[in-house]
Amino acid sequence: MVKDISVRKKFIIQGFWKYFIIMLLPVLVLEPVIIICDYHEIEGNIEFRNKRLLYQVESKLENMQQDVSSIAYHFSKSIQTNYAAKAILTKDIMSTDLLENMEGIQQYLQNMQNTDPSIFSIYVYFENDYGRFFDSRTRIQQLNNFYDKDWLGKYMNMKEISCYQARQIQEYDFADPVPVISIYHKLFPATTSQEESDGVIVVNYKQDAFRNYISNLALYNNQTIAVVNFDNEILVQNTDINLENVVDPASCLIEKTYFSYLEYTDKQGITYISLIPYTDLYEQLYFLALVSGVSLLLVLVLSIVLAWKSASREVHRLNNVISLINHEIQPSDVMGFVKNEGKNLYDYILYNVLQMFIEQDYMKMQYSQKKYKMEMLNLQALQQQINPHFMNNTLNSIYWEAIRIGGKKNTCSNMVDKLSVIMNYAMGMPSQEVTLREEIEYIKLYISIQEDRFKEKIDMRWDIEDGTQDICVIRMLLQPLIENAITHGIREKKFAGAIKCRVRQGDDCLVFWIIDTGQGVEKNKEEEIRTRLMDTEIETDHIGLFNTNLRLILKYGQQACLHFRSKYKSGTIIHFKIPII
Amino acid sequence: MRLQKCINKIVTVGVIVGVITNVSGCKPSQPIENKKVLSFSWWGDEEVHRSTLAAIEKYERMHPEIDIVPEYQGQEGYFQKIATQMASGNLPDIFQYQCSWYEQMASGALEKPADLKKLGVDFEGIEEWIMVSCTVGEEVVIYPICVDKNLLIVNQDFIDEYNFTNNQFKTWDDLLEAGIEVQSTNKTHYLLQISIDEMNEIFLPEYLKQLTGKNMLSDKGKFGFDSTQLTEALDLLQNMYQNKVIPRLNVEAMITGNIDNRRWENGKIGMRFGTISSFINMKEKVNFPISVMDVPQMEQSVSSGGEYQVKTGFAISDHTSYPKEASDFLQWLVCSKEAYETVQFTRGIPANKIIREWLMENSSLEGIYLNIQEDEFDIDSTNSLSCHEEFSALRKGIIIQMLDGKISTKEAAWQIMMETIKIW
Repeated sequence: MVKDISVRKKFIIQGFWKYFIIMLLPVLVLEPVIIICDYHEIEGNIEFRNKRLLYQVESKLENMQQDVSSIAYHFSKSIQTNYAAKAILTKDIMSTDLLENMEGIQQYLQNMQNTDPSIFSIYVYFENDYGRFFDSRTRIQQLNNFYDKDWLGKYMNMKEISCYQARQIQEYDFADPVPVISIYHKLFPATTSQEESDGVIVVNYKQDAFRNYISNLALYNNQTIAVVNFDNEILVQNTDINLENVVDPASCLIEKTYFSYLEYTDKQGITYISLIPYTDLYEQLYFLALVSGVSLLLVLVLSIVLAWKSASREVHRLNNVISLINHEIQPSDVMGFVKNEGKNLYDYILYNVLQMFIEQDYMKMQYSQKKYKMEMLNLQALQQQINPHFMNNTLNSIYWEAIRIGGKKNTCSNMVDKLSVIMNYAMGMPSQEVTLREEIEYIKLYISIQEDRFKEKIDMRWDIEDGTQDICVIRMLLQPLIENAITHGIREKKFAGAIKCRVRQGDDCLVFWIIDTGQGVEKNKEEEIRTRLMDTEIETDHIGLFNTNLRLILKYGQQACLHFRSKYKSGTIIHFKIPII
Repeated sequence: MRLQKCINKIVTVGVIVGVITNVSGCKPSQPIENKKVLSFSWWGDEEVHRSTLAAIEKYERMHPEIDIVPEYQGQEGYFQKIATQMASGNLPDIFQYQCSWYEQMASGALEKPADLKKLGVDFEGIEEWIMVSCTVGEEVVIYPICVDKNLLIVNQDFIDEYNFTNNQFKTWDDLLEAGIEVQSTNKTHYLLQISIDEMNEIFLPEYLKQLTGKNMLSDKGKFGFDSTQLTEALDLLQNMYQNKVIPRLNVEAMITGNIDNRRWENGKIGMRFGTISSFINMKEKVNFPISVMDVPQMEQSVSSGGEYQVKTGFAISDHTSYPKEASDFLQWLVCSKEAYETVQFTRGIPANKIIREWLMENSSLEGIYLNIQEDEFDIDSTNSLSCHEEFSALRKGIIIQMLDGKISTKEAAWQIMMETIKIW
């Protein structure tokens, strides 16, 4: 197990840098680009946008001025209206014509007021001794009884034809005063070229309406738009900031805090001011910078989290691999952990390395087992090389003793003679192959010994395909199988049985069948033998069978293994095939 | 493992979304003004404005989420203003209105008064005979503010000075006779002040109604009088004008605000036309005692004239953005005791019987009898043709010419009828 904390730490640090750099790159590249582009766009457009905005404000004021001029024109240049209005205001006795004219004037003023909701009231004044004037909200009014008197003083001191004034009109003492922008326009006699005015039109526009208008135009939340007249009086502004400093553009406070833009019109004598707090102007940039900062923080946190998770996963995987190598866990567990899903190159490589390792380990084990078996067989072979001399000498002694006792050749000496021949054959070099014919001949000798010994005739039948008898096979190929058939098949049975050996030539192979009609084995025994044959084990029981099977596999490979089929009390079939070399 | 990966992804996405959401939340935002703004327009005199503004303030305190923007003025020009706003679709949310204006204004208008019943306004306390005056077709377009009637406001000192009593002016002849006596005694004194508008819109319809029992024009545009009857009314007016029972028309008389009229303020006028509400509001404004008396009647008059009428009411625009809030405010203003604690009688006698009775118990209104019965009420007062602005304007012009001596009363009567026929 990986217990060393430094390994985990190393994994975490490596993972952190990997994730951090990958995620950091877009943030570091994109956000500054966006911020810089945004900054240049703001800087480049702000003057143009302000100019356009203030032009709209100027146009609005110009339209208001034009409306006032239109009313002034009506009262100055329309002779009938001019005459009637003056007569109504200056005379005490009212003629019917004047009364009718008064109705007309009153309706005209009311219509002008009603059609523009931003107009609070309109006054039309021609100089008269009574202080009378037309008021659009009522009718004829007399200044000494009227709630709004300031405007007349302004008119008296006016040098220009037209001017603007910010005022408040309080109609009732209990009501809030109404802030208005009063536009004055002097009236001149209709029929003479006299340059002295003899009256004035005052149109009182509601400041609130104008303030709402400029507020809606504002580009930024806290942008201040103000309109200042020739006398530096603020006609309207949409915020509450103190604009006194603005009138003096050299003010440091304004310069430091606000982006200011001023437009002055000679014609109106009006200055239009736009002030945008830098905090508002660059609000978007601040916001982007904040997003960048938060993104960096997010990247940092995510990198740590991902690195930690990745390190945990890698350490776990590493532990599994080490456990596998140490044989602490089964390969199948690791393979389940390291799946070859092709998602990760390193997983893929690791998977293949582990698979190769497992296969090599397995092969190594198999090789060790085979080596052990080979050593055992070699030992047996060596032992068999010693035994033949001893056995051959012994058999010769027995042979001559049997002749001496019987006085001549007898059954015993014959059997010993046959056995000696068989022994010589069997003890031959294992690596030296023999023809099938030789193998059959020695089997026939073996069977005759068995017949001599047990005084019974073994019904041995040979079914050998022509042309196959000269084919070489390993020594003692069929004898153990015939012996197995006699020992476990025929001899177990109470009555005589038959053994048939069939040999056929296939495609580059010889196929053998050893069939007996002996006792056979029970089903479970049959399964056990088959399993053992598969496992290539050598058992003490059916030793000939398993020995032959093992020799066949060692010589010809797994495909030459024995196939065993048996039916209890009916017989057994063994078949196999060997390649023709 | 797959499930764990899935959970990990969800957690990661959640973290990112959460952070981004928080970051977005960091963006500075402007405070949002949640108040619902209702515009409210009315006409009246100073007392009406004062009491209505106080009531609005009270309501705004009770409902901080409501902001009521008042717009008020005198009666002069109010009709034209509402007509223009209705035509152009700029009506206030709540506005003072008269049913008699409906036909003149509603045709082709972009906005109209809404049906108050559909808005859920409760008319409990409004008698059925009053409801008739609030209805146009099937729609209830106004909530009646007050019931009022034309009467004469009397300068008690003046009457006493000439040893007159209020009871002696039962007929128009009594008034004419007394007026002549005043002039013969003091050339600067006049018994009755009446403006050209009052001659045209109060005296003439009242007199003709006494004479015929009908409105000047029926709903179908038929005259409620004949030329003889109209001539008789104009004769009386001409008599009073020529005998200086009423002062000559001059600019002084045209100056807005009768209360500011110097002759009346200086005690040189014996009586003037008015209504209960104007009497109430005037009481504190003049420095002499005033009282009221019924409009004189002719002998054998068919109708008494001077009946109670629903003069005006409050309407709600059918395009208001806040119908529920507008109707709630209207309901509160015209039929809640909280509102009337402030408004009192400044708008006249409340049309709502429940409020009227409550006010009778809780306020004193000397000389005014508030228990109005159905037979004292002019159910037909809202006849729109009789009140039509154009009809009124043509009459006014002809009356001015008549008083100026340019045409006779007979010619004036004839011209009024001919010009009216031309209009329709």
